[in-house]
Amino acid sequence: MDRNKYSIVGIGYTPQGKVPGRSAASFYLEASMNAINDAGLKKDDIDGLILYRDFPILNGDAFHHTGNVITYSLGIRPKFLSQEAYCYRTNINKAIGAIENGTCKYVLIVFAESGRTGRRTWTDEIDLFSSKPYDEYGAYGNISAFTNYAMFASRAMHEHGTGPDLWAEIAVAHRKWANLNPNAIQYSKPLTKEDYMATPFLSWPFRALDATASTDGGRAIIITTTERARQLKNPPIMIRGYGSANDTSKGWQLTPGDPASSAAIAGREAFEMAGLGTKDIGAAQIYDCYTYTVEATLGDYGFFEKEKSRDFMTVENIGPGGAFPVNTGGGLLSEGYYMGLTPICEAVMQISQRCGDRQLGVIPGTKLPEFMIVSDNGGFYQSNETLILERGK
Amino acid sequence: MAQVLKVNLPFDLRTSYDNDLFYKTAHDEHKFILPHCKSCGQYFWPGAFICQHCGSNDVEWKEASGHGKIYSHVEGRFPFHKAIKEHLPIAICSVTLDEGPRVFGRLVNYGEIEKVPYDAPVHVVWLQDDEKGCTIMGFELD
Repeated sequence: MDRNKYSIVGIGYTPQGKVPGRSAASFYLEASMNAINDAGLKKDDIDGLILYRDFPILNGDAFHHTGNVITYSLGIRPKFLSQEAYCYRTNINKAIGAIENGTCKYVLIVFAESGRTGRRTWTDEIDLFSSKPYDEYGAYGNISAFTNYAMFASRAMHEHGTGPDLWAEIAVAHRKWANLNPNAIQYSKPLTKEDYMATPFLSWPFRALDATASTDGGRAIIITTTERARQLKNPPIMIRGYGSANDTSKGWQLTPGDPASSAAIAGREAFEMAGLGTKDIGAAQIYDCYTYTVEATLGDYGFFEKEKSRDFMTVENIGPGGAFPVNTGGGLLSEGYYMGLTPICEAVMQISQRCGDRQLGVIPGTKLPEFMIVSDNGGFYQSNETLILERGK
Repeated sequence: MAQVLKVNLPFDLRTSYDNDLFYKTAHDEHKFILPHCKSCGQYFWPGAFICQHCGSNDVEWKEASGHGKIYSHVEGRFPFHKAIKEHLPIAICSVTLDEGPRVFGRLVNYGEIEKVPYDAPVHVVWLQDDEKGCTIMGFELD
């Protein structure tokens, strides 16, 4: 893949948080149309459509929100249509592949759900997706992603000296960003480290505040060539670096600091393609399903030595006004859970200077980064796509 | 032979054709067996049609020690599903077996979770549910 050959040209948001009376399908359609309008395209221009993973049907929908259901209501007939059955992250790879091989010109990637009011998505999955018993681990009492990530984080406490006091810093930094973002679900809810420490462990060593929460809403992006992007109304947000990798370990088998982790490999590939190093990166939008995921990803990217995460992952460094801004919209933890589209859309928002009170370069002591690193990861830290983005002309 | 504890498990055990013999042998004979590759000599987990290391299909089940070192552990205290509420807290651990594979089990007789040492030697303890007719792996500090 050539450096800066592909760009993100449009992003789509919807109302989010607790939005009763709306189906997941309605958020898919609203986010998609908003991205199409943002790019200045017509819906018929979209010739490739990629959906994040399928979920069981929640309250408010009559069908799985599969590619054909969404494209029918969008009234388009894309040449390329794809949806993961599970949590692997190959969406950008597929989008670019479909353009590179000549099939598509404009590929839309979308995710939406109604998990806040339509019933909790993941619990529903245990009941309906596989029927009881859930899988081999159900009998052991391991039925949540939360438990698997807690296993990964627990070992990192021993391996790298991290722990709840550091994860409190991460949770608070994300919340402070969210407090500057009127779209964030936690916009009006401040959080202190003391608040964090006062909450109970749900699965030791993790608390509820270590995890993202289900939401209602949707998010979409459109990818095309930078050449085509230059004819459109937004400045192209160019993909300067890209990497992807998939680890085969189970969630509970993961090794913190593994030099062959999917984040480490995808990160190395992205830096190599971009011709850049960690010192060139001015900010990061990291897939933060859990607090520790942010620490693990930035550590695997090489932003700090893993034993020294405590010096890097502070509210002062990664929060508003800090030297290395991370998840400037509040992230999955405090803005809203739209899988990898939360970090990608926030990167586009920042680079195109649409961020209002949280805009880098406007907050005193900060500057607009020339290069931003973005991660999306799936499964239990097993699957990773990494982007290094820069503003095009 | 490993100790057997009588328990009530939160869900029935779902196994695959490929890994069924592990649980059947655990339940019927309280023996700890592992998939082993006759071609490259390495153990793996869970059971599969081929060896994950070398790809050979010359694989067998072989009796193993049931000993290893605790890699990581957590203690579930929240009912992510209503069916596990009465079983909480549930401690879960990953164990790097002396034979190589990292396996998964319930941690038992551990005291306070915060004080369980990483890399400490552990051995398998069978957790047998007579009503559900199945047995799973537990681990206890040596």
